[in-house]
Amino acid sequence: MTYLYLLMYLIQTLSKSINDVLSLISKPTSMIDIPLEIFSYICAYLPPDDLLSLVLVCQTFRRLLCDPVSPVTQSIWRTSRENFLPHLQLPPPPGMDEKEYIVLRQLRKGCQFCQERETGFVKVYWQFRVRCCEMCLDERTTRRDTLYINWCVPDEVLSTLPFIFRGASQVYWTKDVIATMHEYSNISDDDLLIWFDQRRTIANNIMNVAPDYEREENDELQSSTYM
Amino acid sequence: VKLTSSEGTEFIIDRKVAEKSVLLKNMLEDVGESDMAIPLPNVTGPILNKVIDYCTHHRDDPFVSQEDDSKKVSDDIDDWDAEFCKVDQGTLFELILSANYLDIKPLLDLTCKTVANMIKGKTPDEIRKTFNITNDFTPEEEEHVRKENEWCEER
Repeated sequence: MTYLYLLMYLIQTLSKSINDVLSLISKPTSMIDIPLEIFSYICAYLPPDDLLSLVLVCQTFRRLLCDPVSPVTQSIWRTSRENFLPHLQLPPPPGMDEKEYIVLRQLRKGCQFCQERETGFVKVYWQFRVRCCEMCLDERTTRRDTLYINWCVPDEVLSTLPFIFRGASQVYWTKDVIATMHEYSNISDDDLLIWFDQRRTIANNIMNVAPDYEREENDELQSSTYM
Repeated sequence: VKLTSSEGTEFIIDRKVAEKSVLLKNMLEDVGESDMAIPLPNVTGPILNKVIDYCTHHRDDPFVSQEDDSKKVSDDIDDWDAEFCKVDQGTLFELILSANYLDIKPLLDLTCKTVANMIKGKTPDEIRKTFNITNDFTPEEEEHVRKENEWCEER
């Protein structure tokens, strides 16, 4: 009978994750040494603000919480977002991980450039992945006709970039235009078609989903939770 | 049911109490009644004692299914449980590991909530003090991480 128990015990232990087995060898008695699995259980009770504090505590927590490709990291932030941010229920837009998405949408942190905090004046411009006030937006964007006439940016290059409307005119993120023009001038003719194709697809994706994210953001601005 | 802790101390408990642990419940179902002690080499005597206290107090609680974690609130701890968790941090973390190993979901939830409550609303510095963690960032790294948290890098 003892052997049977021993065997059972062995099977049970082996079937546990490697993390668990490791943790049994070196008994952790501190927050720093706990297995990732348990760290994520604890994080499940924490709103994103507390997770952001943990990121700043030490290298270990930062590594655990800032890994854009780790499924566990992503699920920690996703759980926290779904539980604690009722107005941020859409999954992150293409090209963003959970943490970046949550951090970008912290409306109460104000404009990312000048720290302006006036409600209704600061919003996320999803097309440009920025959170800013209208003044900083105008400083950092350029109208389509200016780009076309004064800067001689070809139409086809503009077609690979996301834009928004300011009044009646389309505006582009100036730094993105410059970076794209630089890439465009360095690309070989053979690769040009593929380059256009890929960039246009990305830009279209960003443009297509932006209204959904704006809608959720407006819900938050209008709700009392933000005030 | 007989259990043996890592140092070889023997504990005799009701089957109903033991069955709060899914690990023990499955073992008991597989092997049936037996006089043999179940060895628990990962759990020390004092911790096992605490775990048994918990399981005895909660012996009549209905079993909560594993998937039932729709609401993640940490302020629903009753007085007995709160008192139970007033232990030093080493003990608390060993309780978490034992609850995880023995597969006692409500105890795992309780202890994880307790740790979460020790973190909630605190600044990074207060968290370091609470858990005795050294700040191993250089000032430049710390500033960089802070900026990442605000999304305020130049763009």
